[in-house]
Amino acid sequence: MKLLSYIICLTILLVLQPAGLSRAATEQNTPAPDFELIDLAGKTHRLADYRGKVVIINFWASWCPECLEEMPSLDRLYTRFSKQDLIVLGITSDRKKDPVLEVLKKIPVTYPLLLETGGGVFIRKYIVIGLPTTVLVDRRGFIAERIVGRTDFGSASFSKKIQELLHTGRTP
Amino acid sequence: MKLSTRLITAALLCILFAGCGPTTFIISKDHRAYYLGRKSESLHTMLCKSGDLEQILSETIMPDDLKKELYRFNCTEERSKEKVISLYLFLTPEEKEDFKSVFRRYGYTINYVPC
Repeated sequence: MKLLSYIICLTILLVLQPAGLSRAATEQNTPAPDFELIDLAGKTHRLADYRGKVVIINFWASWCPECLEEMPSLDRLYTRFSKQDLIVLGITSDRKKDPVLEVLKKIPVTYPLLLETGGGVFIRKYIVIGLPTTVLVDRRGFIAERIVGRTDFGSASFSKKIQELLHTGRTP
Repeated sequence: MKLSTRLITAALLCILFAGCGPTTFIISKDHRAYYLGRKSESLHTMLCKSGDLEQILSETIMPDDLKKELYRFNCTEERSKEKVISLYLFLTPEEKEDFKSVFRRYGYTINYVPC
């Protein structure tokens, strides 16, 4: 009887289990969807304008602790490689400036933070299903990798990945 | 062993062996439970054909554009589990809580699996 209830409960949970992160595999080497968003200073950023550079798109939200934890290491990476054609764009799902400005007081990052007010980029173009999500875009404007979850951008392996993308156009 | 203990064990086993990915929340009514956004005909009947989702969305505080999108991704030919998850993630914590509480007002139980 006990075994039966385990099996029933486990089956229900497995059936209810939502899709995993299969998206990451299917989109690799496909063109990164273009977008046009404004940053906190009102400047417009179009992904297409950065063709020829390596772009890190970092989706985050002010209410997401893991997002905030990775921001300092992402900023250090940006500072280190920005002169070698690395662009970092932080896209927040916060629809208002105030919570973003509050975050900036505590974590003063230097890369542009873009506001996504309607959800078109977040939901329709990139279908972000976990926060934080980081999308690496190569110099051709193609998606090289999608990472869901907190990343240590200061790690040797991530630096190597970026260097490979900057120099050879491929991730190791 | 109590049923609740068995459920927790089953959930832990699920996480351990299946890997729990990003999600919305579980809605249950009349001994049926589903993750919101799952492609299922019985969920479609329960939420869409009944008119429940339309009513529920009309009472939530989320922006009108997102209400329309959420309805589209759940109830029309554009049904998409991933886009429902993405839209749910895009909501603010207040909008998420409000959405669940309106479901409760319509007789749904949230995050409970009737075994």
